[in-house]
Amino acid sequence: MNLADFVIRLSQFRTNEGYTFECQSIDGEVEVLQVEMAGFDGFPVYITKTNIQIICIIYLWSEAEIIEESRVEMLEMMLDTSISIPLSSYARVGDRYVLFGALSVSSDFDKIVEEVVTLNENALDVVSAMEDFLL
Amino acid sequence: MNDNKSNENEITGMHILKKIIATIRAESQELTDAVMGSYGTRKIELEYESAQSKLKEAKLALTEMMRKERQSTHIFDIIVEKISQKELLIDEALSHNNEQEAMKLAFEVVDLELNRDFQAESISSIAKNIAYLQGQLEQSERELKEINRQLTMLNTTENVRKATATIMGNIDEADASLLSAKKSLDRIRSKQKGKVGSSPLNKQLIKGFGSESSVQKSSSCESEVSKNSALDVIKRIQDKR
Repeated sequence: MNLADFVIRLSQFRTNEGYTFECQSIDGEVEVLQVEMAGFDGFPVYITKTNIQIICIIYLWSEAEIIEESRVEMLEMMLDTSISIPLSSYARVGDRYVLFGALSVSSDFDKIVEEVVTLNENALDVVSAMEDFLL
Repeated sequence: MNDNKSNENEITGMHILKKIIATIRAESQELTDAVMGSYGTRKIELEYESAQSKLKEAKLALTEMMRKERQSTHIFDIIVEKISQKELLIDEALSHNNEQEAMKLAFEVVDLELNRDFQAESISSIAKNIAYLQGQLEQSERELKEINRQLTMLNTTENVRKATATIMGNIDEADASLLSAKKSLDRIRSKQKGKVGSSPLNKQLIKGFGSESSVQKSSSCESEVSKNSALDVIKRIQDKR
């Protein structure tokens, strides 16, 4: 799906749970879309596209925010819990820990919306669960 | 210079994920360029194009071979049919004691049989070639898929890095304090508390089912939330200064 078409559709969409979406395109070297769920206090989801994937990312925390002595325990906890988190996985980009979901570029609109909503719910859970490891 | 070249070749010869890991670990510009730079990506793109061209060639050759096989099988069938007809004619000639005619037809059958054997050999050879080409085709398909997978990994890594740089630049400009996960969590929690305290549903529940003390508790909770929110506003403005 073309990201520009996706923005238009998503901006007018309302989920069964009553969530709507505030979308904003971010200018840069690659096409990035920022999506915030109105009615859900969460984190912004950033969407970017490669030749075969649509990647939805939430930036969680940076290395500087981790309590140094808890770092290994936190990493183990992330590995242990990763498989339980629906449709999302952890990763690190540079010094930033992220939660992301990857979909095929041929995914239909509903699947991308499902990913955005689930990712947001997951991110809130993850930050709450990991806050003891953070400064 | 030569050392650099051999090092470069060694790098590009490595498996793509290993290259990405090496890049992340080393964070050296040279490695980054080798893996992510236009040279590394272009080299893989060229490999992809070459594999695609091999695949196209193999498909064309296979189509040609299959055409030849069909042609030879058709000729073979015609010869076999002709042999059957000639054998019937020989039988007929013999039944009329026309040995001369029978002998003439027999020579023709021998020629046809030689041709038939030649065609059979040709069909068998073509079949072997088809099998070989099909193997080559599958090999090219696998190669193509693998190169495509490697390109995807490169593109994804490159894309996510670029996207992150763009996003971080954008957030830094907007509000640096938003980057802290804990601050965000606190902000979300205080917002949620605010919503629980002031939501019409909550007020209705208190009105309908709550005791006076629970209403008082709720009011004190609401004022606490307001106080927290006000502190948040002051903090936010102070952070911006």
